[in-house]
Amino acid sequence: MIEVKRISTDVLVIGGGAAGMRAAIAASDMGAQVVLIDKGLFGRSGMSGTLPYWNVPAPPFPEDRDGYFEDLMNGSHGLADPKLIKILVSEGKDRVLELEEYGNIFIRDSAGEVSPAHADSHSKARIFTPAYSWIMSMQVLKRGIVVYDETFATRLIKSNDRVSGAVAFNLKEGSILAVEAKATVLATGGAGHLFGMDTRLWQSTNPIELTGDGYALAYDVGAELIDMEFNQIALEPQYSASRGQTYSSTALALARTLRSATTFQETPSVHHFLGGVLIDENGRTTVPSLYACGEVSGGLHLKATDQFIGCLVFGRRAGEAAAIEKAGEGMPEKEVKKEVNRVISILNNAPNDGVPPHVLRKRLTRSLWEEVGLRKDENSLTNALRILEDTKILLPKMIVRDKSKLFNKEWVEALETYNMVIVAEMIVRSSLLRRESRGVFTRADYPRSDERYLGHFHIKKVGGQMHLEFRSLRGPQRGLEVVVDPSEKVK
Amino acid sequence: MVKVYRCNPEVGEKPHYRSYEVPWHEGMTVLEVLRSIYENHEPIAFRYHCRSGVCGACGVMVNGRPVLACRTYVEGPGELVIEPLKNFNVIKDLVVDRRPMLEQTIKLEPWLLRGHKAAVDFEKVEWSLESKDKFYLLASCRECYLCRAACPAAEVGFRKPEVTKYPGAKFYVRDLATRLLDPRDEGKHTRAVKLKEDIDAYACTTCKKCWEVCPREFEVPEVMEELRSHIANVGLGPLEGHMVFADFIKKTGRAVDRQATPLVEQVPELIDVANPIDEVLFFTGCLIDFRLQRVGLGIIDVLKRNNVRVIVPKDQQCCGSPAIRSGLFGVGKAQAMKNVEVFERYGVSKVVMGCPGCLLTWKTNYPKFIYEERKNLPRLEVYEITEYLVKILGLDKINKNFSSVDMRVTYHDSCHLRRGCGIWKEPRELISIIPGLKFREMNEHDVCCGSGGGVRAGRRAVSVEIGKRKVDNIVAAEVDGVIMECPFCYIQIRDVLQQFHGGKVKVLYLIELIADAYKGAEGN
Ligand SMILES: Cc1cc2nc3c(=O)[nH]c(=O)nc-3n(C[C@H](O)[C@H](O)[C@H](O)COP(=O)(O)OP(=O)(O)OC[C@H]3O[C@@H](n4cnc5c(N)ncnc54)[C@H](O)[C@@H]3O)c2cc1C
Ligand code: SF4
Ligand code: SF4
Ligand code: FES
Repeated sequence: MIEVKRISTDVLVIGGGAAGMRAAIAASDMGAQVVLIDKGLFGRSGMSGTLPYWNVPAPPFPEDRDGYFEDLMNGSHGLADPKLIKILVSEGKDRVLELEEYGNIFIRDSAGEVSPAHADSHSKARIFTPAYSWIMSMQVLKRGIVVYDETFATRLIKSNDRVSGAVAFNLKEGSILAVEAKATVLATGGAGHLFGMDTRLWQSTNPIELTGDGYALAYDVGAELIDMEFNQIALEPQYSASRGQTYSSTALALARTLRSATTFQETPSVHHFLGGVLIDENGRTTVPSLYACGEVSGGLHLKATDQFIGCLVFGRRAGEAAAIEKAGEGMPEKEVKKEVNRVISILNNAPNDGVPPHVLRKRLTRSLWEEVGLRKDENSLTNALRILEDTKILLPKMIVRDKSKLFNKEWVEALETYNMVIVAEMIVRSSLLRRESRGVFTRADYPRSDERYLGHFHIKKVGGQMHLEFRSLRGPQRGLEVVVDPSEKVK
Repeated sequence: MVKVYRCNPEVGEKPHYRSYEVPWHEGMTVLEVLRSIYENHEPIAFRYHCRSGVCGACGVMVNGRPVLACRTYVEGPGELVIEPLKNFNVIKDLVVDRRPMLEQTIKLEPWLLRGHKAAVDFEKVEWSLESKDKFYLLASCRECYLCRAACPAAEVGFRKPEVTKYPGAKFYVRDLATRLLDPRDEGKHTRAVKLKEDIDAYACTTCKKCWEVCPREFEVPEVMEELRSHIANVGLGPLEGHMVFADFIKKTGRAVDRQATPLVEQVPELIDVANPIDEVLFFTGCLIDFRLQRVGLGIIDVLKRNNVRVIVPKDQQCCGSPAIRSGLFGVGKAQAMKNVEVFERYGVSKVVMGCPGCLLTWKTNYPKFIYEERKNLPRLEVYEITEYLVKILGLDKINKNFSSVDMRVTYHDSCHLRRGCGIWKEPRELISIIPGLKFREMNEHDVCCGSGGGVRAGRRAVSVEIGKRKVDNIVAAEVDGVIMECPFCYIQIRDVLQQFHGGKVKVLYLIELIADAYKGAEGN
């Protein structure tokens, strides 16, 4: 049997990137007791922990707020929620100042004055850099926030209509953690790894833990997601293996270390999600007591360049709002048990013709990369959907070869695969329905934008089924709800 | 063939190795090797996140050396031994327990310490270009702990925590040095206390093992010396054992006391030869001058036998290294000024020495010190004697009239010579031309002996523990003699060998061995 540890706290934060850390700090500063769980090594996981440093944009002075607002609204091609963007531009600078108070120092000019950098998508210089993930993670630890890293949240638990905590799997101990919380903040980042290979940067710059768990977890408890088809592809430097520094140590005759990355070529790779779990001004999702912030959240429609400030502004807001939530009913034991059983059954699953998770994942990610990531049209998307359906059928055949509970990565991969399939379906189905190109979303068969698609595809689980619904943002149709499903055409 | 360390305590498994056949392809990384084993053989446990050398999660030992699996290419098919990072407890297979590292980090309070909060707008930060560059560089530490895995002092800290708390370079490089570089930080004194107490800063032998493996290539010992200088500046250092040297230098110009007649008093200032092919100045250094005069005489003899005219300046003094390594930069600089002035007087440009400690100081500290004072660089080129013989005179041209020395020998790389000055081939080449010597590399031949960085003087217990690992390796090599080219290593290894193995293996100074081989041939 597996050990199940039950703990309870005021606020549970899932994810240790910029958004999760900022939410945890905010909740803790409000006096709440906070538990943070992180699938990877704390401070070094997620996109935030795997970038050499952060470029954080913010309007450097109040007069620039309008300019930044315009840039962000234009950059979103009408899809960003102006309410949220207003907040972002007015609170952005404070969040950046805070980073300096934590211990970062942004580039100064020769007179010692702060000197923000330019970004292509900005009309003014407003990139404050560099900020370091570890400096922020130290702020979390300094506050005595309880951090469980290498701990993987497998499901959110509901009591009646509200979220009352989560079940997670602690890799380092090989045990299960059931965290009961008055409020839960999802900050699990994006899902770039859905398009990625396992060992090389090729196809996705995202670290391996970004398998879109948060989208799937929120979906599972009935939260609404939007803009899941907007996955940003960028030209990223890929380090090439052809050259490097050779070290003369006789002990290492066979291995060569590349220390400073001097040789690289640029290749496209999927890197950022603009949509996600729909939030309001305080990071509330459509499910009571569940909050979201950072890349897992949807509504701000931020491109990668502008993401960190979104993480910080809404991380703080979500953390503060979560901190004042009243206690509801506790986590129902039955639900916890159910999840523990599910997790264990995936470990113990032993079909005759079992397939290890990496086999399923390779097929899925390759299809997503080739048919959805790089270039997509009706044909490729339909094909991707077919492979997705095949994968779904194969899920029960998934076998975890290592049956031990301690640091069992294959077990994690198997659990992730369930999430990946759900997220992939969101992406493929909304991509199929959006018959236009808009912003970072491009379809080879519909290269132009079409005003009829000015709006969001809302995704929600209804009666166990994935339900997509288009809500237009256009003049007279604004707010009009057009229900669609894949077999139906968008009007 | 890839051999992987396996251990799953959950099922009561003992540590063991398993071999796997992994098809090799061009450009294959160690991470791909691991992943290939995971997918095609069995799901071994290892960590990684970014696949791009940033997260620092994928550190493993490959053939004994700590590396990032994702940034290390396998050069061809052949044996690869992959093990978990050294100086950590293992959770499972290649996954180590990093939790204690986080706990240690928090203790260091690596955040901005100051009494007040900044005003509502960005404050002015005036710092030198140098501080700025260094801050950004050191802040970019990947937290990969390769430095810890490579560190001989941290090895002692892990094996015998009662001897030292020394945790490895990352903790002072990223967590304390960055904060000390921050002009806004008010915790200067606290940081010095932490450096001394929590880090045991004087246990670092400045051996540069960490530099060799650090993916950011931090000049770690340099940072350590600056931190020690900071400890000294706030009045908390150096240690008593270091002060003895510093006081001696200030009083006598030499770092050690006089026992036998110093070398410079035993030999004339000019040692001429009939048809000189070159002319060099000989910088003796305190240990050769005051303790190992035979080595100094050997250097002169070898040069003579190769038709080189030698000048031994009478007014030379201690290079200042013992003060610099313990953070007393002022004392070091005064020595630099004196020595450079004395040596420039002769109008001869080449300076030869037989002590890597002096060499490193002349090569790395002197130019900086002299430039600060005079705004120009010393008009001198410095060489270690083996480097001079091989590179300047030429291995093929030097006198090879040696007698046979019948012995099984191994060679210990002095840290200052190998990583400090890049000299490790030359001594081996010289060993290879002496007839009779049967050479074999020992395990961990380039790991520190424990004497450097003032550790022998200031933290003897740590020094002995590091030395023990060294001499155990020497004895395990089953040789008659261990050769080295450094007076500090020589004295340390001689003493520690005596302590643990009763002088079972002969300790040999390379240049003296060469001189003896010349003499032996003469006798025939
Ligand atoms: C190459 C690249 C460059 C970029 N450059 C910039 C830039 O210059 N400026 C900018 O503003 N933005 C930039 N971005 C975007 C930005 O880095 C990310 O959007 C941002 O870091 C997301 O932060 P986050 O906190 O939302 O998620 P992440 O930082 O991705 O963190 C997610 C966290 O959730 C954890 N997690 C995931 N699933 C689970 C689970 N099931 N259980 C427990 N924990 C879980 C992960 O371990 C991780 O700690 C860039 C992105 C890329 C790819
Ligand atoms: S210089 Fe040597 S002793 Fe000092 S931290 Fe580096 S590896 Fe350790
Ligand atoms: S100092 Fe270098 S080797 Fe040590 S943790 Fe930092 S990056 Fe890694
Ligand atoms: S996987 Fe991140 S450094 Fe190697």
